[in-house]
Amino acid sequence: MRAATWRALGTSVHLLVEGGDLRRAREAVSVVVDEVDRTYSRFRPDSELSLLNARPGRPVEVSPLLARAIEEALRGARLSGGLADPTVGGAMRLIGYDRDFDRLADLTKPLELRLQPIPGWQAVQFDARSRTVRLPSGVELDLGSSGKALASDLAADAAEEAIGGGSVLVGIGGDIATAGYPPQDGWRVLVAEDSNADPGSEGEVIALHGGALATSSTTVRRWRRGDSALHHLVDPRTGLPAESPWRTVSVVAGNCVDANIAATAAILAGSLAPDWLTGLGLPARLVSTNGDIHRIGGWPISSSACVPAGVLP
Amino acid sequence: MKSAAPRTPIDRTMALRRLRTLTLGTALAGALGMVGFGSVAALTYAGKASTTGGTVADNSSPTTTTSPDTSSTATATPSASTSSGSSLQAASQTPTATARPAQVTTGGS
Repeated sequence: MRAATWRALGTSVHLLVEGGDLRRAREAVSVVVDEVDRTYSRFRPDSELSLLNARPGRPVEVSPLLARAIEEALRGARLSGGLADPTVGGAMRLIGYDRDFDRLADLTKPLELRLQPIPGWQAVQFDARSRTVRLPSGVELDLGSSGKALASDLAADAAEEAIGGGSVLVGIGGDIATAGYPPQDGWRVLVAEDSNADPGSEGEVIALHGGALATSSTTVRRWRRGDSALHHLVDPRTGLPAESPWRTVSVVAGNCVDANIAATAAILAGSLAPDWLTGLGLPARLVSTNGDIHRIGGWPISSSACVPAGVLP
Repeated sequence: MKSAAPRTPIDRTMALRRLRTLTLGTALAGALGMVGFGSVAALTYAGKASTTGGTVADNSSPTTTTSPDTSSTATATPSASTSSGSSLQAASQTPTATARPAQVTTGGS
C-alpha cells in the first residue's frame, strides 16, 4: 500500500494505491483536481462557474465537466426534495462565505442576516444534450458540496485507469471514493467529525469494501461575524446556516456523489433523516448535537467505538 | 343612412356560396396550421427520457423561472425515489467493523 497527501481545492487530498504505480495515480488525480478547480471553483473569478454565475438571463453552453457537475447537483436536489440544492450560491455570499475559507477569519464585521429562501433548483434551466444552462437573474450556483464528491469519483476512476488496474482510494476533504477491487480487508477509514483528523487518532474505524463514503458536518468550516456563529450548510428554506439535531452525518453509497447528497440532505432533513436514509438502504452514522451516535442501514459497530481512550489494540 | 337594396334569390345564393367558401377556407387553414405546427414541434422538441434504466439525463426542469414556494418550505422532505425511478445508489457491500488502524479519515471539511 502506498499513499500520498497534498493540498488542493482548499482542502486535503489523500491517495492510497495498492497494486499500481503511485506516481502515475497521483498525476491522474492531479489532472482531475486541477480541471475541477478551473471549472467550478466558486472562489476563482476566472473559473467557468464564476463566469456562468456572472451571466444570468442568457443561455450559456458549458464544458462537459461543468455540465456533468450541474447535472449531478440538480439530480441531488431532485432526489433530496430540494434539500441539497446548488442554488445556495447567493445565500453563501450573504452569510459571508464569499472567499476561500482560509481567508474568512480575517473578516469580523457583523453581518445583517436575513431569512430568505433560496431560488431553488427548479429555477435552473439546464439541457444536458446541448450542455446549455440558463440561470435566471438572482440565481447563483454553488457546486462545492456535490462537486467535491464528484471530483473524488472522477479522480479515483482516472487513477485506476492510469495504473491499469489495482486498487485506488481518493479522499478529498473527507469525501472518499474507491475504484478497482478493494483490498482483502477493505479500506480502513477513521470516521471523524473533521476530515483533517489524523487517521491514527482514536475513534471509530470501519472497513470500506468498495463504493464511497462521505461526511457532512456543521462542526467544521465555521466562522464568526459579530455575534453570529455561522457554518457552510445552508438550509434552502431559510437561506441561513442550518439548525439541525445532527451535527455530523456519514453515509456509505455506491459512489461519492450519492453519499455526499445523502449526508448533506440528512443534516438538513433533521428528525426525518433516519427514516429517509433507512428507506434508501444506505448505511449511515448520525451524530446528534449532544454527541449521541445513531447507526442505521447496516452501519457496523466498530470495536474501537466501544473501547475507552488509550486502549486500542 | 342609406338602406340596403332588396336582395334577389341570386344574391342570396352567391352570399351563401361566399359564406361556405369562407367557412371551408378557415377550416382548411386551421387544419394545415395544426399539421404544420405539429411537424415543427415534433422536429424540435427533445422530449423526455425513458423512465427506466440507463443514465439518460433528466431534462425535465421547468423552462420558466419559478418563485420559491415559501408556503411549502416548512414541509419540505427528502424523497426516497422520484417519478423517474432513479434513486441514490447503494454500495454493493456494506462496510464492516475492523479493529485495525485506519488508513484515511472521513469527516467534514
